[in-house]
Amino acid sequence: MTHQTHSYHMVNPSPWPLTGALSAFLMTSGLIMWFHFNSMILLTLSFLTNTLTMYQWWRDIIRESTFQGHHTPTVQKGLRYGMVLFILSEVLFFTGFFWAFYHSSLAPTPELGGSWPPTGIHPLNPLELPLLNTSVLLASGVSITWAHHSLMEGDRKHVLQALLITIMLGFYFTLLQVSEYYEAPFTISDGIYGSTFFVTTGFHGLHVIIGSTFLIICFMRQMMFHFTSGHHFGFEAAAWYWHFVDVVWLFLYVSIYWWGS
Amino acid sequence: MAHGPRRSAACGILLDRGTNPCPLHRQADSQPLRHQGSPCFTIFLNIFTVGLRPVVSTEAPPIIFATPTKLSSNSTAYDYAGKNKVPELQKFFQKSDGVPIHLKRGLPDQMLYRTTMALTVGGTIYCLIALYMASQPRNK
Repeated sequence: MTHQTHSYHMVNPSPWPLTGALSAFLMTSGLIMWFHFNSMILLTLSFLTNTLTMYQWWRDIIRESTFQGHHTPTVQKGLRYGMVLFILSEVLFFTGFFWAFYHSSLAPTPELGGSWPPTGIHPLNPLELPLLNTSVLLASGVSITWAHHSLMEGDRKHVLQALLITIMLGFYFTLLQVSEYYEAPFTISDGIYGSTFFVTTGFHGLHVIIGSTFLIICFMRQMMFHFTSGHHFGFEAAAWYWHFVDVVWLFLYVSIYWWGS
Repeated sequence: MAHGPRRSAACGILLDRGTNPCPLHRQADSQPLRHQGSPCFTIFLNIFTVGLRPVVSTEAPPIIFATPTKLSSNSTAYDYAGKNKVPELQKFFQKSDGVPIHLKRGLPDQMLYRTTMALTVGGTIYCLIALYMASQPRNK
Protein backbone atom coordinates (compact mmCIF):
# COMPACT_ATOMS: atom_id res chain seq x y z
CA MET A 1 0.00 0.00 0.00
CA THR A 2 1.67 3.24 -1.13
CA HIS A 3 1.32 6.42 0.91
CA GLN A 4 2.05 9.96 -0.17
CA THR A 5 4.77 11.74 1.81
CA HIS A 6 3.34 15.24 1.29
CA SER A 7 0.21 16.98 2.53
CA TYR A 8 -1.28 17.96 -0.84
CA HIS A 9 -4.39 16.44 -2.36
CA MET A 10 -3.87 14.36 -5.50
CA VAL A 11 -7.38 14.47 -6.93
CA ASN A 12 -9.00 11.51 -8.70
CA PRO A 13 -9.47 12.02 -12.46
CA SER A 14 -12.71 13.94 -12.87
CA PRO A 15 -14.99 14.65 -15.84
CA TRP A 16 -16.39 17.90 -14.44
CA PRO A 17 -13.84 20.36 -15.87
CA LEU A 18 -14.69 18.99 -19.33
CA THR A 19 -18.47 19.14 -18.84
CA GLY A 20 -18.10 22.60 -17.32
CA ALA A 21 -16.09 23.87 -20.26
CA LEU A 22 -18.53 22.36 -22.75
CA SER A 23 -21.48 23.87 -20.91
CA ALA A 24 -19.76 27.28 -21.15
CA PHE A 25 -19.42 26.72 -24.89
CA LEU A 26 -23.11 25.81 -25.07
CA MET A 27 -23.95 28.94 -23.07
CA THR A 28 -22.14 31.33 -25.40
CA SER A 29 -23.44 29.63 -28.52
CA GLY A 30 -26.89 29.47 -26.93
CA LEU A 31 -26.83 33.23 -26.45
CA ILE A 32 -26.02 33.64 -30.16
CA MET A 33 -28.89 31.33 -31.12
CA TRP A 34 -31.24 33.25 -28.86
CA PHE A 35 -30.19 36.71 -30.00
CA HIS A 36 -30.06 35.99 -33.72
CA PHE A 37 -32.30 33.03 -34.40
CA ASN A 38 -34.91 33.23 -31.63
CA SER A 39 -34.13 29.71 -30.36
CA MET A 40 -33.67 28.96 -26.66
CA ILE A 41 -32.87 25.24 -26.84
CA LEU A 42 -29.11 25.56 -26.58
CA LEU A 43 -29.29 28.20 -23.87
CA THR A 44 -31.64 26.11 -21.73
CA LEU A 45 -29.43 23.06 -22.27
CA SER A 46 -26.39 25.07 -21.22
CA PHE A 47 -28.00 26.15 -17.94
CA LEU A 48 -28.97 22.56 -17.24
CA THR A 49 -25.51 21.12 -17.94
CA ASN A 50 -23.88 23.97 -16.02
CA THR A 51 -26.02 23.26 -12.97
CA LEU A 52 -25.35 19.52 -13.21
CA THR A 53 -21.61 20.16 -13.41
CA MET A 54 -21.61 22.54 -10.44
CA TYR A 55 -23.71 20.16 -8.33
CA GLN A 56 -21.51 17.14 -8.99
CA TRP A 57 -18.20 19.00 -8.78
CA TRP A 58 -18.99 20.54 -5.39
CA ARG A 59 -20.61 17.29 -4.19
CA ASP A 60 -17.27 15.57 -4.97
CA ILE A 61 -15.34 18.25 -3.06
CA ILE A 62 -17.54 17.64 0.00
CA ARG A 63 -16.91 13.89 -0.36
CA GLU A 64 -13.15 14.45 -0.65
CA SER A 65 -13.02 16.74 2.38
CA THR A 66 -15.68 15.86 4.93
CA PHE A 67 -15.81 12.14 4.15
CA GLN A 68 -12.28 11.31 2.98
CA GLY A 69 -10.30 13.87 5.00
CA HIS A 70 -8.14 15.16 2.16
CA HIS A 71 -8.35 18.81 3.22
CA THR A 72 -5.21 19.12 5.30
CA PRO A 73 -4.17 22.58 6.54
CA THR A 74 -1.94 22.85 3.45
CA VAL A 75 -4.87 22.15 1.16
CA GLN A 76 -7.09 24.53 3.11
CA LYS A 77 -4.49 27.27 2.74
CA GLY A 78 -4.64 26.84 -1.03
CA LEU A 79 -8.43 27.03 -0.93
CA ARG A 80 -8.20 30.25 1.08
CA TYR A 81 -5.86 31.78 -1.48
CA GLY A 82 -8.24 30.64 -4.19
CA MET A 83 -11.31 32.21 -2.61
CA VAL A 84 -9.47 35.46 -1.93
CA LEU A 85 -8.31 35.68 -5.53
CA PHE A 86 -11.78 34.87 -6.81
CA ILE A 87 -13.38 37.60 -4.70
CA LEU A 88 -10.63 39.97 -5.87
CA SER A 89 -11.54 39.19 -9.47
CA GLU A 90 -15.17 39.99 -8.66
CA VAL A 91 -14.11 43.29 -7.13
CA LEU A 92 -12.38 44.13 -10.41
CA PHE A 93 -15.52 43.08 -12.30
CA PHE A 94 -17.62 45.57 -10.37
CA THR A 95 -14.88 48.21 -10.65
CA GLY A 96 -15.56 48.27 -14.38
CA PHE A 97 -19.21 49.14 -13.92
CA PHE A 98 -18.47 51.75 -11.30
CA TRP A 99 -15.89 53.24 -13.69
CA ALA A 100 -18.56 53.47 -16.37
CA PHE A 101 -20.93 55.16 -13.92
CA TYR A 102 -18.43 57.76 -12.78
CA HIS A 103 -17.17 58.34 -16.33
CA SER A 104 -20.68 59.37 -17.40
CA SER A 105 -21.85 61.07 -14.23
CA LEU A 106 -18.81 63.21 -13.37
CA ALA A 107 -18.92 64.98 -16.76
CA PRO A 108 -22.48 64.70 -18.10
CA THR A 109 -22.72 65.43 -21.82
CA PRO A 110 -24.92 68.14 -23.39
CA GLU A 111 -27.14 65.34 -24.72
CA LEU A 112 -28.06 64.55 -21.12
CA GLY A 113 -28.80 68.18 -20.37
CA GLY A 114 -25.37 68.75 -18.87
CA SER A 115 -26.56 67.46 -15.50
CA TRP A 116 -26.62 64.31 -13.43
CA PRO A 117 -29.20 62.87 -13.04
CA PRO A 118 -29.91 63.61 -16.72
CA THR A 119 -32.82 65.89 -17.57
CA GLY A 120 -36.09 64.03 -17.38
CA ILE A 121 -34.81 61.25 -15.12
CA HIS A 122 -36.46 61.07 -11.69
CA PRO A 123 -34.10 59.01 -9.53
CA LEU A 124 -35.28 56.88 -6.63
CA ASN A 125 -35.31 58.51 -3.21
CA PRO A 126 -32.22 57.16 -1.43
CA LEU A 127 -33.89 57.58 1.96
CA GLU A 128 -36.76 55.24 1.13
CA LEU A 129 -36.42 51.62 -0.08
CA PRO A 130 -32.67 51.78 -0.82
CA LEU A 131 -32.00 52.77 2.81
CA LEU A 132 -34.09 49.84 4.04
CA ASN A 133 -32.09 47.57 1.71
CA THR A 134 -28.88 48.91 3.23
CA SER A 135 -30.06 48.13 6.75
CA VAL A 136 -31.19 44.66 5.68
CA LEU A 137 -27.77 43.77 4.28
CA LEU A 138 -25.91 45.28 7.23
CA ALA A 139 -28.09 43.27 9.61
CA SER A 140 -27.35 40.13 7.60
CA GLY A 141 -23.65 40.85 8.05
CA VAL A 142 -24.18 40.90 11.80
CA SER A 143 -26.20 37.67 11.79
CA ILE A 144 -23.64 35.77 9.74
CA THR A 145 -20.92 36.86 12.17
CA TRP A 146 -23.11 35.58 15.00
CA ALA A 147 -23.44 32.29 13.11
CA HIS A 148 -19.67 32.02 12.73
CA HIS A 149 -18.99 32.65 16.40
CA SER A 150 -21.63 30.12 17.37
CA LEU A 151 -19.98 27.61 15.05
CA MET A 152 -16.58 28.18 16.61
CA GLU A 153 -18.13 27.67 20.04
CA GLY A 154 -19.88 24.45 19.04
CA ASP A 155 -23.33 25.96 19.59
CA ARG A 156 -25.26 24.03 16.94
CA LYS A 157 -28.70 25.46 17.55
CA HIS A 158 -27.57 29.06 17.21
CA VAL A 159 -25.57 28.38 14.06
CA LEU A 160 -28.74 27.15 12.41
CA GLN A 161 -30.80 30.06 13.76
CA ALA A 162 -28.32 32.75 12.74
CA LEU A 163 -27.76 31.22 9.30
CA LEU A 164 -31.50 31.07 8.75
CA ILE A 165 -31.86 34.74 9.69
CA THR A 166 -29.05 35.64 7.29
CA ILE A 167 -30.68 33.70 4.45
CA MET A 168 -34.09 35.24 5.13
CA LEU A 169 -32.60 38.74 5.15
CA GLY A 170 -30.96 37.93 1.82
CA PHE A 171 -34.32 36.87 0.37
CA TYR A 172 -35.97 39.97 1.82
CA PHE A 173 -33.37 42.14 0.09
CA THR A 174 -33.97 40.37 -3.23
CA LEU A 175 -37.73 40.75 -2.90
CA LEU A 176 -37.41 44.45 -2.13
CA GLN A 177 -35.12 44.97 -5.11
CA VAL A 178 -37.51 43.16 -7.44
CA SER A 179 -40.36 45.40 -6.31
CA GLU A 180 -38.09 48.43 -6.75
CA TYR A 181 -37.33 47.31 -10.32
CA TYR A 182 -41.07 47.12 -11.07
CA GLU A 183 -41.84 50.47 -9.50
CA ALA A 184 -38.91 52.46 -10.91
CA PRO A 185 -40.01 55.35 -13.14
CA PHE A 186 -37.07 54.73 -15.53
CA THR A 187 -35.91 51.66 -17.48
CA ILE A 188 -32.63 50.19 -18.68
CA SER A 189 -33.14 51.86 -22.06
CA ASP A 190 -33.36 55.34 -20.56
CA GLY A 191 -29.94 56.43 -21.73
CA ILE A 192 -26.72 56.00 -19.86
CA TYR A 193 -28.45 56.57 -16.51
CA GLY A 194 -30.70 53.56 -17.01
CA SER A 195 -27.86 51.43 -18.37
CA THR A 196 -25.45 52.10 -15.51
CA PHE A 197 -28.18 51.80 -12.89
CA PHE A 198 -29.73 48.52 -13.98
CA VAL A 199 -26.55 46.74 -15.12
CA THR A 200 -24.68 47.51 -11.88
CA THR A 201 -27.59 46.84 -9.52
CA GLY A 202 -28.60 43.86 -11.65
CA PHE A 203 -25.21 42.18 -11.37
CA HIS A 204 -25.21 42.96 -7.67
CA GLY A 205 -28.61 41.30 -7.31
CA LEU A 206 -27.30 38.24 -9.14
CA HIS A 207 -24.45 38.05 -6.65
CA VAL A 208 -26.91 38.30 -3.76
CA ILE A 209 -28.75 35.30 -5.22
CA ILE A 210 -25.49 33.38 -5.64
CA GLY A 211 -24.45 34.28 -2.09
CA SER A 212 -27.83 33.22 -0.71
CA THR A 213 -27.52 29.89 -2.51
CA PHE A 214 -24.08 29.36 -1.00
CA LEU A 215 -25.50 30.12 2.45
CA ILE A 216 -28.36 27.66 1.93
CA ILE A 217 -25.82 24.95 1.08
CA CYS A 218 -23.94 25.82 4.28
CA PHE A 219 -27.20 25.58 6.22
CA MET A 220 -27.89 22.13 4.81
CA ARG A 221 -24.34 21.00 5.57
CA GLN A 222 -24.63 22.29 9.12
CA MET A 223 -27.88 20.32 9.50
CA MET A 224 -25.95 17.24 8.36
CA PHE A 225 -23.14 17.77 10.88
CA HIS A 226 -20.47 18.46 8.25
CA PHE A 227 -18.83 21.41 10.02
CA THR A 228 -16.68 21.17 13.12
CA SER A 229 -15.79 24.01 15.44
CA GLY A 230 -12.22 24.03 14.13
CA HIS A 231 -12.69 23.19 10.45
CA HIS A 232 -15.45 24.81 8.43
CA PHE A 233 -13.82 26.53 5.50
CA GLY A 234 -16.93 26.17 3.32
CA PHE A 235 -18.79 28.32 5.81
CA GLU A 236 -15.97 30.86 6.00
CA ALA A 237 -15.84 31.15 2.22
CA ALA A 238 -19.62 31.76 2.15
CA ALA A 239 -19.26 34.39 4.86
CA TRP A 240 -16.46 36.18 3.01
CA TYR A 241 -18.55 36.18 -0.18
CA TRP A 242 -21.55 37.52 1.71
CA HIS A 243 -19.54 40.36 3.24
CA PHE A 244 -18.20 41.18 -0.24
CA VAL A 245 -21.79 41.40 -1.55
CA ASP A 246 -22.65 43.70 1.35
CA VAL A 247 -19.67 45.98 0.67
CA VAL A 248 -20.53 46.23 -3.04
CA TRP A 249 -24.03 47.31 -2.05
CA LEU A 250 -22.62 50.01 0.23
CA PHE A 251 -20.57 51.37 -2.68
CA LEU A 252 -23.67 51.12 -4.90
CA TYR A 253 -25.82 52.96 -2.39
CA VAL A 254 -23.36 55.78 -1.79
CA SER A 255 -22.39 56.24 -5.46
CA ILE A 256 -25.49 55.54 -7.54
CA TYR A 257 -28.41 56.00 -5.18
CA TRP A 258 -27.13 58.80 -2.98
CA TRP A 259 -24.46 60.85 -4.78
CA GLY A 260 -26.07 60.12 -8.14
CA SER A 261 -29.48 61.51 -7.19
CA MET B 1 4.60 30.32 11.26
CA ALA B 2 4.64 31.35 14.89
CA HIS B 3 1.29 32.03 16.50
CA GLY B 4 0.05 33.41 19.76
CA PRO B 5 -1.57 31.08 22.29
CA ARG B 6 -5.28 30.39 22.08
CA ARG B 7 -7.16 30.31 25.33
CA SER B 8 -10.75 29.96 24.19
CA ALA B 9 -12.79 28.96 21.22
CA ALA B 10 -14.49 32.37 21.06
CA CYS B 11 -12.41 34.71 18.99
CA GLY B 12 -12.36 38.17 17.46
CA ILE B 13 -13.62 38.69 13.96
CA LEU B 14 -10.30 39.81 12.64
CA LEU B 15 -7.49 38.46 14.70
CA ASP B 16 -5.81 35.65 16.46
CA ARG B 17 -7.74 34.27 19.38
CA GLY B 18 -6.30 35.63 22.60
CA THR B 19 -7.21 36.29 26.18
CA ASN B 20 -8.89 39.52 25.18
CA PRO B 21 -12.21 39.73 27.03
CA CYS B 22 -13.49 42.03 24.29
CA PRO B 23 -12.74 39.90 21.27
CA LEU B 24 -14.04 42.44 18.79
CA HIS B 25 -11.23 44.86 19.61
CA ARG B 26 -7.70 44.49 18.45
CA GLN B 27 -4.85 44.11 20.91
CA ALA B 28 -1.46 45.18 19.71
CA ASP B 29 0.38 42.72 21.92
CA SER B 30 -1.52 39.65 20.74
CA GLN B 31 0.68 39.49 17.65
CA PRO B 32 4.22 38.09 17.64
CA LEU B 33 6.82 40.78 17.01
CA ARG B 34 7.54 39.53 13.51
CA HIS B 35 4.08 40.62 12.32
CA GLN B 36 4.12 44.09 13.75
CA GLY B 37 5.85 45.70 10.80
CA SER B 38 2.70 46.32 8.81
CA PRO B 39 -0.57 46.46 10.74
CA CYS B 40 -2.81 46.66 7.65
CA PHE B 41 -1.15 43.69 6.05
CA THR B 42 -1.28 41.84 9.34
CA ILE B 43 -5.02 42.40 9.70
CA PHE B 44 -5.58 41.38 6.08
CA LEU B 45 -3.51 38.23 6.53
CA ASN B 46 -5.23 37.41 9.79
CA ILE B 47 -8.75 37.60 8.37
CA PHE B 48 -7.97 34.86 5.94
CA THR B 49 -5.78 32.62 8.04
CA VAL B 50 -7.68 32.70 11.31
CA GLY B 51 -8.98 29.20 10.77
CA LEU B 52 -5.57 27.77 9.85
CA ARG B 53 -3.55 28.49 12.94
CA PRO B 54 -2.41 25.31 14.66
CA VAL B 55 -3.38 24.84 18.25
CA VAL B 56 -0.21 25.51 20.25
CA SER B 57 -1.46 26.08 23.77
CA THR B 58 -2.09 23.19 26.12
CA GLU B 59 -5.37 24.86 26.99
CA ALA B 60 -6.64 24.51 23.44
CA PRO B 61 -10.32 23.62 23.27
CA PRO B 62 -11.27 20.17 22.00
CA ILE B 63 -12.60 19.96 18.45
CA ILE B 64 -16.33 19.98 18.88
CA PHE B 65 -18.47 18.22 16.32
CA ALA B 66 -21.36 20.58 16.31
CA THR B 67 -23.55 18.56 18.60
CA PRO B 68 -24.36 20.15 21.93
CA THR B 69 -22.07 18.67 24.54
CA LYS B 70 -24.37 19.60 27.41
CA LEU B 71 -27.16 17.55 25.94
CA SER B 72 -25.01 14.64 24.87
CA SER B 73 -26.97 12.32 27.14
CA ASN B 74 -30.29 13.50 25.71
CA SER B 75 -30.69 11.92 22.31
CA THR B 76 -34.17 13.23 21.53
CA ALA B 77 -33.52 16.99 21.57
CA TYR B 78 -32.31 17.19 17.95
CA ASP B 79 -34.54 14.65 16.25
CA TYR B 80 -35.63 17.24 13.72
CA ALA B 81 -32.15 17.18 12.19
CA GLY B 82 -31.75 13.43 12.06
CA LYS B 83 -28.75 11.68 13.48
CA ASN B 84 -25.16 12.37 12.53
CA LYS B 85 -24.40 10.20 9.54
CA VAL B 86 -20.91 11.61 8.93
CA PRO B 87 -18.93 8.78 10.58
CA GLU B 88 -20.64 6.09 8.52
CA LEU B 89 -20.29 8.17 5.36
CA GLN B 90 -16.60 8.57 6.17
CA LYS B 91 -16.23 4.81 6.42
CA PHE B 92 -18.16 4.33 3.21
CA PHE B 93 -16.19 6.81 1.12
CA GLN B 94 -12.85 5.65 2.47
CA LYS B 95 -13.28 2.10 1.17
CA SER B 96 -10.27 1.44 -1.03
CA ASP B 97 -12.05 -0.09 -4.01
CA GLY B 98 -10.30 2.02 -6.65
CA VAL B 99 -13.53 3.72 -7.73
CA PRO B 100 -13.05 7.45 -8.44
CA ILE B 101 -14.85 9.86 -6.15
CA HIS B 102 -17.45 10.92 -8.68
CA LEU B 103 -18.71 7.33 -9.03
CA LYS B 104 -18.15 6.09 -5.51
CA ARG B 105 -21.82 5.80 -4.62
CA GLY B 106 -22.46 3.40 -7.47
CA LEU B 107 -25.62 3.50 -9.54
CA PRO B 108 -27.02 6.97 -8.72
CA ASP B 109 -23.59 8.52 -9.44
CA GLN B 110 -23.30 6.63 -12.71
CA MET B 111 -26.76 7.69 -13.87
CA LEU B 112 -26.09 11.34 -13.14
CA TYR B 113 -22.63 11.18 -14.76
CA ARG B 114 -23.97 9.56 -17.90
CA THR B 115 -26.85 12.02 -18.14
CA THR B 116 -24.51 14.99 -17.74
CA MET B 117 -22.02 13.65 -20.27
CA ALA B 118 -24.75 12.78 -22.79
CA LEU B 119 -26.35 16.22 -22.51
CA THR B 120 -23.03 18.06 -22.75
CA VAL B 121 -21.46 16.08 -25.59
CA GLY B 122 -24.77 15.74 -27.43
CA GLY B 123 -25.40 19.43 -26.95
CA THR B 124 -21.94 20.26 -28.31
CA ILE B 125 -22.53 18.20 -31.44
CA TYR B 126 -25.93 19.87 -31.92
CA CYS B 127 -24.27 23.23 -31.35
CA LEU B 128 -21.56 22.59 -33.96
CA ILE B 129 -24.20 21.56 -36.51
CA ALA B 130 -26.31 24.62 -35.69
CA LEU B 131 -23.29 26.91 -36.02
CA TYR B 132 -22.33 25.29 -39.33
CA MET B 133 -25.85 25.82 -40.65
CA ALA B 134 -25.93 29.38 -39.35
CA SER B 135 -22.70 30.13 -41.17
CA GLN B 136 -24.18 29.11 -44.55
CA PRO B 137 -25.23 32.20 -46.54
CA ARG B 138 -28.96 32.44 -47.12
CA ASN B 139 -29.70 33.03 -50.79
CA LYS B 140 -32.78 35.19 -51.28
